[in-house]
Amino acid sequence: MKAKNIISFALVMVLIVTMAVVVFGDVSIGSFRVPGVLDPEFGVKQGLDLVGGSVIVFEPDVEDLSTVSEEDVASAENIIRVRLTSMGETEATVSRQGDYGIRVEIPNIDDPNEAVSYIGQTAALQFMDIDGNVVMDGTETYVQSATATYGPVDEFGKQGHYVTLSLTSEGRAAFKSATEQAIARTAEGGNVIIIALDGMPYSWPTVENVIDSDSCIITGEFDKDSAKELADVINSGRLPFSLKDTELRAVGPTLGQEALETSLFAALIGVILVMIFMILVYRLPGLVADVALVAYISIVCLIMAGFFVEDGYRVTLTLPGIAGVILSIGMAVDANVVIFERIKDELNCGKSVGASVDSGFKRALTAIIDSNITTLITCAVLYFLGTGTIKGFAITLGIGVAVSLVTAIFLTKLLLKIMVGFGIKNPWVYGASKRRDA
Amino acid sequence: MMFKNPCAYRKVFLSISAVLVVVSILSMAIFGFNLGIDFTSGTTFEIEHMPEGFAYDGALEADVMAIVTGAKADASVQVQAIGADGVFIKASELTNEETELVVDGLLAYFNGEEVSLDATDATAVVEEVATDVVEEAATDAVVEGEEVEEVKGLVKAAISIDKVSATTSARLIGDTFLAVLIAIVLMLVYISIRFDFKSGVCAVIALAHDVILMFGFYSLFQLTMNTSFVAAVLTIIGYSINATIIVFDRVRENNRMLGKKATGAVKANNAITTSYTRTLYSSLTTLFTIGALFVLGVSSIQEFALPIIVGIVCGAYSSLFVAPTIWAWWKDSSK
Repeated sequence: MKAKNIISFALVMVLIVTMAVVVFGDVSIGSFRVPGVLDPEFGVKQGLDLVGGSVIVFEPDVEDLSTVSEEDVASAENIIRVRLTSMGETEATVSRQGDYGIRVEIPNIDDPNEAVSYIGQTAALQFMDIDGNVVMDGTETYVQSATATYGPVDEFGKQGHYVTLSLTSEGRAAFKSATEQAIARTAEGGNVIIIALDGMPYSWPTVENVIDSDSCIITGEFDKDSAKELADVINSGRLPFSLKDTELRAVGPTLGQEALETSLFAALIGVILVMIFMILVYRLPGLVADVALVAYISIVCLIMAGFFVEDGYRVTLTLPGIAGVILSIGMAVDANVVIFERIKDELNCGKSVGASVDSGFKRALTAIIDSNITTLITCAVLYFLGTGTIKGFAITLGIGVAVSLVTAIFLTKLLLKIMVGFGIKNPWVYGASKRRDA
Repeated sequence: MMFKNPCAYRKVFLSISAVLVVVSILSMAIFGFNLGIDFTSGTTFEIEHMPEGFAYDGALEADVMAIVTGAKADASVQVQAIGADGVFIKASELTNEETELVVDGLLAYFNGEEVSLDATDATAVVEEVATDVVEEAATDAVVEGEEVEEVKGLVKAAISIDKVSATTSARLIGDTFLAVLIAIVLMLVYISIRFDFKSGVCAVIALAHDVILMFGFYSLFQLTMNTSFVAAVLTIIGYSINATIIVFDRVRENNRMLGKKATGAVKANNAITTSYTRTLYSSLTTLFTIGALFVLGVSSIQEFALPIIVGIVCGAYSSLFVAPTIWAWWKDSSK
């Protein structure tokens, strides 16, 4: 029995220590490197309130939002992407918020106002010749629509993605003369039409022959997304609205850094206080709970760093998210407190240590499950109804509660049973009120 | 003894709660709330650390106000100190250009330059901004891995700006009410299934008690309410129910062990007295971590930690002395 206990104890401890090292250290074994959880590239993705940056929510600047179609918003979203790229903000993310909102997150930007005025302006779409002379603009006077299509792209029936451009009669006339002039300059390589957004060349398809038609196609090395993007950019010339920023949250990089550092320091102090408290109050089980707490923190960090899932599912850690994790540390030991109180009750009734541990866990279980499920219900409500930071808070608190159920119940139980198996059977050690003989 | 037989002292415990609830509601009715821009819409500027040589006083407050009204003459402005050396400015909603003017004004002010601001500057700034962007775009302005230089004065990167428009804030208020309502209904349903309907109602009463006191606390001390307060309230809804359930779990156990003959008061008393240490310890451990955040954290973290601390204290009280005592009272009087 003892040998088996020693082996399982050693296994559990090795597992926990390994996890903790993986999480908090930056381990290198030869060329094999396991980055720590705070590694900016592979660790937990840090939210903009920690690294500094701006969250801007744009909405079409119109009187009545119901006049704005879904396609218009999608088109505006793509324009924003293009503009961010041309600003050099390749790290920025763009997503939809609600029916009409477009949420833009730009890390490490010092001057959000500059970005707002640039991104929000009405799109200026122009078709130019090789010298930059505007041959026509992208307004509805000339352009009817642009659509991304999949179908045969050459006479041999090769399939591919392309963009169909439909023109008005004026557009057709302008395009005809533009293509004529372009073809005339084929020798010097001038047979292109430049499609420019905000005065910046965006795409420059080659003109193969004079086009005198209501519609033409633009082919090239497109995939589904890039074809769609070009179509959206062309359509943006007909967007009748500019974008206004309905919400702006800019955190300077220095402040973000300070927020992260102080929060982590606070977490450290809080955890140390909790650990000391548990040992003082519950003695051996308290120590076991502390070990479980280390495992708990490690697992939560690993989940948030996306260790168990594909890279795309890393949780973005925001300031309220950190608060959620720290709060959940306090709550994680709650399950242990409930269990250990029960064990103490049983011991004080005169039961043996082994029996007390067993029935303590059994009796505490319903209370722990019921109380944690209610917390999870709150997390779910927050997640589905909250936006932005509140969502981040709900995710981290939810992960925390779920993991704490595992570590506080199963891990502590396993470790305590091993302790009993070791022959440590003095009830005082397990928190009973008076020293008695076993 | 009061704490050995809490159900007998029900009136005392419930009176304390009732007084606090009445004070909270009165405060809300009379003083209202100090709503942050998340709810009222507006633009805020926050400088966590002012450069050396600047201290928050009446003169600085007036100067900062003048910077904002210089950018927008009819803007409503509030200026307050945060932390030891920080300043927080809350203004009515500013346009992008006006925001730019304020930032420039603050930079000039805190770096000791002369500033003259009037509305005619606005267009110049906008044009300058527009050309800046195009130039930067053209020259590919990606700067990677650049170390933030140690600058003595105030830099743009040290100013946090928040702007919320009226439409967004109206939506937020609606969403918040909905979230709280849905959370409460779901709790009631869950507890009614796992325990009994009376327990569910009592737990929700305790919950309402905690939430009202949190709101009352914020009203009485006129603390700024923002989205983080909403998150805190929802956290406490989960936390307070959590504590109440631990007590009701003991009641449920007593129901099985003591049978129908025992009064609700006997069962509740036993449940309360056996839960004292658990409630105390669990509240303490949570207060250790959240308290550390409050003491050491930056202002936006403190804004979140404070209501949680208030809620945890209220939750500990209500889970022991409000929910079970009302339950026993109801149970025994409906016999």
